[in-house]
Formats: sequence, C-alpha cells, structure tokens
Amino acid sequence: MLFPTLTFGLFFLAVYAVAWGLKGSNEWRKIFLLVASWFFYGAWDWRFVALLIFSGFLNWGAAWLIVRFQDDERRRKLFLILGVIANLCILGWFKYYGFFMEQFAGLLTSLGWERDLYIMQVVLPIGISFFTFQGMSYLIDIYRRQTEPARLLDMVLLMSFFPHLVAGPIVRASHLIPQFQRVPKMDKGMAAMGLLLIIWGLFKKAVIASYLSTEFVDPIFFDPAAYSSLDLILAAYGYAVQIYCDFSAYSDMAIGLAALLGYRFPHNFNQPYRASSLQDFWRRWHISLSSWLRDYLYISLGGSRHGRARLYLALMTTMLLGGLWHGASWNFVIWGAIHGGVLVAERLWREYRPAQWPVLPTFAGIIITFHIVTLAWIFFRSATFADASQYLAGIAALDFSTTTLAPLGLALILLGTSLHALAPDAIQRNALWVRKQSAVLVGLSAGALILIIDAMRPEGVEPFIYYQF
Amino acid sequence: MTKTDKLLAEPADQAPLPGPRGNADMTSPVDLPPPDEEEQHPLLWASIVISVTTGFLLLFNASALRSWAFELEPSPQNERVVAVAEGWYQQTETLYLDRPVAAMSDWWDGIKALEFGSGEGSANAGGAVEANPDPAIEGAESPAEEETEGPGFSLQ
Repeated sequence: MLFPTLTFGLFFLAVYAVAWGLKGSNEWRKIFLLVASWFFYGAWDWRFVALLIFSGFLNWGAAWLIVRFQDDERRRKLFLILGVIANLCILGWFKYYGFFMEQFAGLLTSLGWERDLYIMQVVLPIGISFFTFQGMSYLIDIYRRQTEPARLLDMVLLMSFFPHLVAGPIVRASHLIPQFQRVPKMDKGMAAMGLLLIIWGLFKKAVIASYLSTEFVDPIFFDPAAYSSLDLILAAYGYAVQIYCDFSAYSDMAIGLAALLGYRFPHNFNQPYRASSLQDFWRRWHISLSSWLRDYLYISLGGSRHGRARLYLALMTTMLLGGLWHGASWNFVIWGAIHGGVLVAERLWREYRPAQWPVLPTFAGIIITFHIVTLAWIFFRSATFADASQYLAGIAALDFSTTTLAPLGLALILLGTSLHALAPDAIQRNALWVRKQSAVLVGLSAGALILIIDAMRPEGVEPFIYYQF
Repeated sequence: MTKTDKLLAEPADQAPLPGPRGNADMTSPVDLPPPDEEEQHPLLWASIVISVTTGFLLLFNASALRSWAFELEPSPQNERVVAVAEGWYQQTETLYLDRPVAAMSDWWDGIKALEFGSGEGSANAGGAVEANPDPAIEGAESPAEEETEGPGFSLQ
C-alpha cells in the first residue's frame, strides 16, 4: 500500500476517523493503530506480519531481561549481545544470505573448489532494515539506561506503526514511547504542518521524482553505453534530485500522517544539497540514520576516544556498514567507501591544513560536496559495478553532442535543486498562516492542490526508492 | 560521569557523524510556536479540513475513483464498487466537473511533449496532444508518440 495511492488515502481516512473516535481510551486507540499497522503491512505480504510481531516480542523480551538483571552487569551485557545478534540474524538472513553465499561460491571457485551451492531466493520483507534498527536502538538505549522500559503493546506499536514502518524515519523509543503513554493532543499548527507536509511530499514524489525516474534517469542507467556524456552527466544530476525528492517525500508524508494522528516524528531531511562539506551533508540527509550510525555504531567502535588512527578506522567502518545497510551489493559498499573516505579526508584537511592557506568559500564547498555526493550516487543507482564503471567511462568520453533530456526534465532538475535555496523554515511559515484560516478555505485549497498534482502525475505510482531497503 | 556520558563526551561540532546526541534532540518539523490565543476545537478544525478536501476531490476527481475501482480484483462485491464509481463519474461528467482536471492533464501533457530545438513539440502545448482514438487500427501511431520520438536536442 503506497502512500500516494487512493487505496492508502481511503485507509488513512478510516484510521483517522476511528483513532480519534477512540480518544477516550488510549489503550484501545493503540490496539486499533497496531491492528491497522499490521493490515497496512499485510497488504504487501501477510506472511511477514508474523515476522514484524516476532521482532517486537523479541526486542521487548530482551529489554525486559536487561532490566530484570539490572544489578548484574555481565548478564545485562549478555542479553544485550544476544538481542542484537538475534536482530542481526533476522536482517542477515533476509537481506544478506544470497549475497554472502554468492561471494562464498565465487571464493571457492577462485580457489579451485568449485561447488554447486544451494542458494535460496529469499524474499526481502519491506522495511526490515528500518524496524530491526529501531529494535536494536531500543535494546542499546535500555542497556545504556537512556530510555525507560516500554510496555509490550507500546514496543510492538513502536516497531509496527505504519507511517514510519517501511522507510523511516527511524523513530527511537525515547521519542515515541512517551507519546504513546497518553492520548495525543492535536493543535491546529500540527494539523496544518501535517497537511502541508503530505501535499508537499506528494508533489515531490508524484511530479518531480516520478517524471525524472521514468522519463529520463531509468532508461539511461539501464543502458549507459547508448547515451552521450551529456546525457550521463544530466542523468546523474537527475538521479540526485530524484532520490532526494523521492526519499524526503516519503519522510515528509510519514511525518505529516503521524502529525494528523497526533504524534511528532523527528526531522529526517534538511536541504541536504546545501551542505558545504560531507560532514554537513550527513547532518542534513537521512538524519535519523546518520544519528543512529553515530550513536550506536561509530561511538561503539571507539569514536574519537582512542586517537586519530582509531577514529578514522571507526569512521570508515561506520560508513562502509552504512553502505551495506542499504543492501547486499558491492556498489553500496563503494558508495559508503566514498563517503567514509571523503569524511576522513575532510577531517585530515581540517587538522593539517597550513594556517596561511585560504579557507574555501562556502559556495565552493557546496558545489564540491554536491558533486562528490552525485558521483557516489552513480554507484548507488547502478545495478552492478560494471554498469557504474561503464557509466563513468561514458562520462569520460566527453561526447557532448546530443541529449535526450526534454525541457520539462531540465526544469524539474533545476526545480529540485533550487528547493535547497528556499528558507529552511518555509513550510513552517506557511503553516503559521494556514492555521489561522477557516477550515473550509484550507480544505478547498488542499483539494485544489491535490487535484493539480494528480493531473501532473504519470499513470501509476512507482514504489519509493527506499522501500527496497 | 557514567560510562554512557563518557561515550557521548565528544563535542557535537567535532563529531564526524552528526545527529541528535544521546536521544537529546526531540524536535520535530511539526513543532510550531504556540498561537497567540487559545485555539477553539483544533481536532474539529482538522476534521473539517480533511472532510472538505475529500469532498472536493470526490466532486472534481471522480475519474481517479473510477480508475481505482477498475483496478480492483474482480468479485461480486467489487463489481458493485465499480458500478457506484462509474455512476458517480458519469454524474460529475454530466455537470462538467471533470473538465478542470482533464484540462490540466492536457496542458501538462503538452508541456511533457515539448522538446529542445523542435517547433513541433511546442505546437502541442496547451492541450493539442491527443492519443490515437483507436489503438486497434494497425500501424496508426498517435501524434504524441511521433513527436516525442527522435534523437532529441542536438548541439551539433
């Protein structure tokens, strides 16, 4: 059930009506939201609802044991490790089994021990990376005594709650569980922001990302050898805009939907292509993942507490694993290596730059960062390493004679880029105005905007890019 | 200082990876400054907004409802849904309520058909692009297809 579809729209209307109808009883409201979330997930594949429930029970149970033995440090650690391993096993089985078996078979072949290994085709449950990371963060927070233990219903709802279930933001227990503990209150500002974020997300996904994907980017990445260098460069820019508009649209809609149900989700994007360094980029892109990686991986690997060499190693490892989190493919590892390598290089530059050398102007930093990120997107988007190599070789051929890009495609790439020049709080400012207007006027305006977007969208809806992760 | 505090002791501005530190960042994009006056019935306000939006779309975008109904799995129950959606669409069509979205779609298709350095594409802007009325006629291609094909913009 994709957000920008009528099926989801009808589902949400029903959920909205019943959830607020049950505001007299927070328990029944949560039970209803839980069942609705399972229905939402089951619309894709009912079999994996059991996995979602199991994962919720597993993390709640492991956390309960950590709390139960709070005076026994060894046992606490043991249950944390077992819980994290169980989560990693679930993730590893569904996401990485095939990849590692293929690598293993290749290794055996290269050693002269060719064997017919039985490699099963494992179906990847949607959103598994998100809900297992959410479960692990809960366990680690409990272990670190950074959050209070949750009740079973709250924990399972935290992991299953449909707005963030399949593509984030990765909402932590300490953010959402306290909100689950009482009937939420809605104010007009929250409702106005929710509506604006949903409409804004719909526009970015259905108009910008869908057009760029189907009409320009996908065909070029499918067969890069058939296109000119100019097309390849423009398609790389196009993909940079597409993935931003696609993924940030999902986050906006998730935050907006949760707001209409009375819950506050954290920021996940903040005009990422405005970043003047890669460190700045990771403060603006997929913030819930970058903060997760920082708090649970980078810090656990030692962070900056054990000298520079260890810091660079921790940083590189974090980004490589962050790349692998996206999927079992060498291209994601290379994507992570580019980001990790440049983060290390930035750090080295800050520490060893000769004092008399001039500081790079901010606009130059923005342009350089955007191009590094776009270069990394080529590996991220290409199906194989060979495809990415062919893509880069095509750019290096310097054939600028033709392009298949239509004026609309160029306009949407420019629009998607120029969104980063807007005031960071532009939507909030609009929401401040909207909340003062009459409900009928706001409803009519929202209807008209959705109608315009619907007229501009292509037939059908492409799944969100991050559904596959 | 606890072990966790020590773990998180790195200054945020120096951390190579950013993020809310130790669950401290609880801000949300939906947080707005409180209103000057107390709001009257915010839930009612939001519900009216959603109801009016839904009603507006039911009136002016009945074709989307019909398309959705056609894609439902065939069953006796869904046949009724299809019949209701089709009937509702025809009602709105009689009142010309389908015209705004159709006009916008035509306008947008015209923009999509534009090409660099081609006067033909621009001739279609404003709704002149029409699909072949009878795709069953062998060899007949729609004008839109003819004009969107080709090598595109040439710098040579």
